[in-house]
Amino acid sequence: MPESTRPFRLGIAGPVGTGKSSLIGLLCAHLSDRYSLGVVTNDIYTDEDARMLRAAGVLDPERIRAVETGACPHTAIRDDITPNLAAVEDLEADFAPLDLVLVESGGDNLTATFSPALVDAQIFVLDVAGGGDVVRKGGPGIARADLLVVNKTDLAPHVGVDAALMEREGRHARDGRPVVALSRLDPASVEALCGWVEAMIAAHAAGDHTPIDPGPMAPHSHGPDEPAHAHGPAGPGHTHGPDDPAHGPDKPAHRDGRGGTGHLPGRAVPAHRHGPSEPVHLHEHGPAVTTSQAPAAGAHAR
Amino acid sequence: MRSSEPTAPSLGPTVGSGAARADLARLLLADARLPVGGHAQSGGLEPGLLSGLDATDLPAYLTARLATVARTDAATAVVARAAALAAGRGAPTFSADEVATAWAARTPSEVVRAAARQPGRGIHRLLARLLADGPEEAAAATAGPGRAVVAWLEELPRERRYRPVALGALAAHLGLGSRATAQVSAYDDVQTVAYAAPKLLPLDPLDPVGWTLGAAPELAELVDAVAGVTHPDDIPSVAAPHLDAWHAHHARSTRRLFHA
Repeated sequence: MPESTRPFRLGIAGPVGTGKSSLIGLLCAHLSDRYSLGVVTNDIYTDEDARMLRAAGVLDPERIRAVETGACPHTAIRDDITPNLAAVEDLEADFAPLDLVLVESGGDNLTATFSPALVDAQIFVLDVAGGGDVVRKGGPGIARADLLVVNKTDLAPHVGVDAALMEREGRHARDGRPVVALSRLDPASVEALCGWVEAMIAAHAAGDHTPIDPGPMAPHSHGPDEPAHAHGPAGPGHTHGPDDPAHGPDKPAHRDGRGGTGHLPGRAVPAHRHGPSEPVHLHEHGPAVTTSQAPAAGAHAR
Repeated sequence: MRSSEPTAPSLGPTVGSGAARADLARLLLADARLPVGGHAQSGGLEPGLLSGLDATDLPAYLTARLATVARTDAATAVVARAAALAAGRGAPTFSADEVATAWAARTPSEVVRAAARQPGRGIHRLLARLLADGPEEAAAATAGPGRAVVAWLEELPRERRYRPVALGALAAHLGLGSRATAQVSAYDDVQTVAYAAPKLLPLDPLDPVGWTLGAAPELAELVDAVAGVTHPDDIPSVAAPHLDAWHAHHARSTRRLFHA
């Protein structure tokens, strides 16, 4: 792909209350000194998210735009992206040249993913408080977003969730695509998140990144002789299982055609692996929480 | 006025070879699922409800719009279609700027004008895309006038490509007649309100369908009234100050589902 002259557009999806706005606040706080940023929020009923971000003082308020979604947060990022695309283009025109535009979806259910016509890559955000089993429920965002974030790991002991297990299950559900177990109180995890975003900005700018649509459909096969696949308009459109030699779990999780940008660079956190079949990953080895019974499981999985 | 676009006698297509396409396009433009941003608008219903309207007012609200703002919008789309077609034939009549200015002069609320920008951009994006990668045959058939139609619209700066002007240009490209253009514009106005209603009110979603059908006489009268308009000066100026005030209030609200 040719080098890109427009900013990297990164979508942030996930159920209500998992910390999408806070994650964007973290990214702004850590990246805005080196990158030129813009943010589009999709609030359901208020401009609360935009106001919170503006009030946080992490970014020039003019660089944060709120989009109304007509009670259809799913539609606004997937089926009819007109209002979001207009907001993104306006930001890019008003503050050119931007490096990164973050688009926050209105909190929606597990099937909501961004159209590849709106964003170049997407992060799907879950949190431990939503229940340790949510990651096992799967869905296109959990399985195939460019990055899965398991957020609020600091709360895990308080909600009876094993954050390390949740992260492992997320990794398993994603065939080696990257997972970051995030706590805003854990600088190493924040570094891992920022490092991933920085690597993606660089890959996009170099033309090394091809958007992959996680798709609204689950991977499926049409017959015994055909491998399972998912449909997506961009890129090869296939999700590959661990047995696929081209994209096995030992490969970088991000497909760029060159195999070079999918790693998690994690400046402060050493990337490591536990065995030949486990992908390189980043996390804190905190004390394991043994119970995995989650109260109010699925409360956010609407 | 240098050109007089003949008024088609029916809602049917006007371009021989593109008849089937135009007929289908009429349905497409009337379909809320067309991805041009309509889902973010309520046709002023949310502003109205927040200012005191209730469900029993809704049938009258629809016909009030057909008598006022929807009429101005539909007439503008009809004039824009004729002017874009004329530009496509190489015999320009009115520039997009003249048409947009005429509409804006009859739409005194900046909030309402701003709300018409977003769908206008969506329609322009669709129009540009249809030209860029339509089927080769269609591209060959429409390349000349189609490109001129887009060029006509793109004379306007992006922030002035209001919905009625953009809709007229798209209707010209797709071969809709002037009556079909007026009908699509007005029907979209009615259905925008009707579709938003169950999201905003405790209604059976089937109720608004009856309201839409009930507005048939007013909608037909509107089509008759505006389908023959070709000059920007003849666009009806029937502003609705009360609706404008509701919109202005809504724009300052921090709690809203719809853009307008």
